[in-house]
Amino acid sequence: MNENKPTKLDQLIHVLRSKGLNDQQIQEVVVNVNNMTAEQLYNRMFMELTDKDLDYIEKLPEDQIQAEVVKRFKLATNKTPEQLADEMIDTFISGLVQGLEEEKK
Amino acid sequence: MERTTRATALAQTKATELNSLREKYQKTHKVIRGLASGFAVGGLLSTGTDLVSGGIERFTATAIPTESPLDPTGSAARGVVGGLSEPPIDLTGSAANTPPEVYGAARRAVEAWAANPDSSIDPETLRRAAEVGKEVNVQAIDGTANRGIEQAYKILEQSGITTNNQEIVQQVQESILHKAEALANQVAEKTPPDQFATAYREALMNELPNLETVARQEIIEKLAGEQLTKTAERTVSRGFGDSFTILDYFKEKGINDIDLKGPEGAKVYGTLAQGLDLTSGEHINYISPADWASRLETAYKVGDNFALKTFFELGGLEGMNLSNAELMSFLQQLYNGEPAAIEQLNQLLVKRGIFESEKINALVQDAMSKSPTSQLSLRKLHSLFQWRQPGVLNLPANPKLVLGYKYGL
Repeated sequence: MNENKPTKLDQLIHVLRSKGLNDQQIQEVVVNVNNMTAEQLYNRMFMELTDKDLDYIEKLPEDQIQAEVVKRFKLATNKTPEQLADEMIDTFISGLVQGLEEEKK
Repeated sequence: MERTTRATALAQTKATELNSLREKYQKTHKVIRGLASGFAVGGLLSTGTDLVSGGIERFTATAIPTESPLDPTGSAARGVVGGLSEPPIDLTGSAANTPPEVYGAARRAVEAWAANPDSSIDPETLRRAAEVGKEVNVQAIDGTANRGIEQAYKILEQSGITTNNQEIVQQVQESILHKAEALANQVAEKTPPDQFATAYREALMNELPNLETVARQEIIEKLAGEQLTKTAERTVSRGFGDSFTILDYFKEKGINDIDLKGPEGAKVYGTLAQGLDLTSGEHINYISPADWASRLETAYKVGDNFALKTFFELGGLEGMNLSNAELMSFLQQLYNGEPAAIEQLNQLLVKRGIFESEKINALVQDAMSKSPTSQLSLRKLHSLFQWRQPGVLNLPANPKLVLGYKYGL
């Protein structure tokens, strides 16, 4: 992580705080954003893998499952889960910022 | 209503399919769950994109507390103190004064997100919708209606207004669905078929705040005959708050065996456990050996002998017979990511199930019992998993654990 640059979470908190949300509210939003991202990722990762993939992966030793899931997900989507998570969060925060700007008008 | 039925059927089919997959592929499910939570947090903590145009410089100059309940990086747990200039975060503030435009904008952002090709909305559904012109994206409509209602309830709930009347919920939902369908038909009349999907998504985004307002008004009207109550439960469920308050809440409710999959139980364990799958007593994948090493190292450096003693009492590093200096060296190796040390810790923490479920559950049960030793048990739990004193931490330092436990991911 680049220590000199704000993280997306920093940016999200900043936007919410600038709109006057208190910390309890910010906490709720952050947790919900996280949850939505995780839920979407979870669904996508499971649904992108075929039955054949899953049959194969399930039989692997536990310490090999993670790498195989990521590998097959990338083969299926041409993206890593990390990239997908980044895109989802970028879309959300950009949309939030844009929405707040529109509210000002 | 036909569309509602179809939308519900679609959602149910998807949920059933996922449940079936979970049942069949339990090992894989567990790993994907961990991955999803981890990547979600990783995404939030990543840098590199200026998402707040023109605001970064100002923002960078604005100190964001790193030693606060909102700090999800775990830096606080590792004893890292950032340059703070803001007062401690107040978690006692009311949510009732949330600027409504923030919710409106947030909801639109969610809708934009849902409209993203990478979202769960099926692109094929959108494509077919565009082809037939007047075909409505039932998933989007259903999602919109539900979001509108969800937000309306959330806002009302923050004002202390609650209802469990499912009939009202259903009536409002159908009303909103009708409005969303009408909007789709309006768009379809004005838009060429091949542009319908995009136009409809834009219209939905614009309409969301109105749908929420309508839903809120309808709920209030339908609730007119009901007693509006400000519930104490809200106080408990809103925040993680003091662990004893939550435990007391469960005790009052007669819940002795906390359901880990339920949101309330999850909050308790998300707060208390932070990294242990208490259903099995195993160390779970969310906390890496390096994180454990960091926690132990912090406890050691600050002289938190109570935490270390508790760790050892539950079997931590049992059999290693390390002196303090050797322990410190071992922790340093872990912290440096030396494979041999990590493997050794994995052997201890994972394969041997170092924190036995009986021991952990005994602590939790005792903490809930209000016995003479319950304070001590709670303190042990806090010391084990947070390295902090009870009551200090409201949001667990590692939110991916909260998410995992809170939402069952």
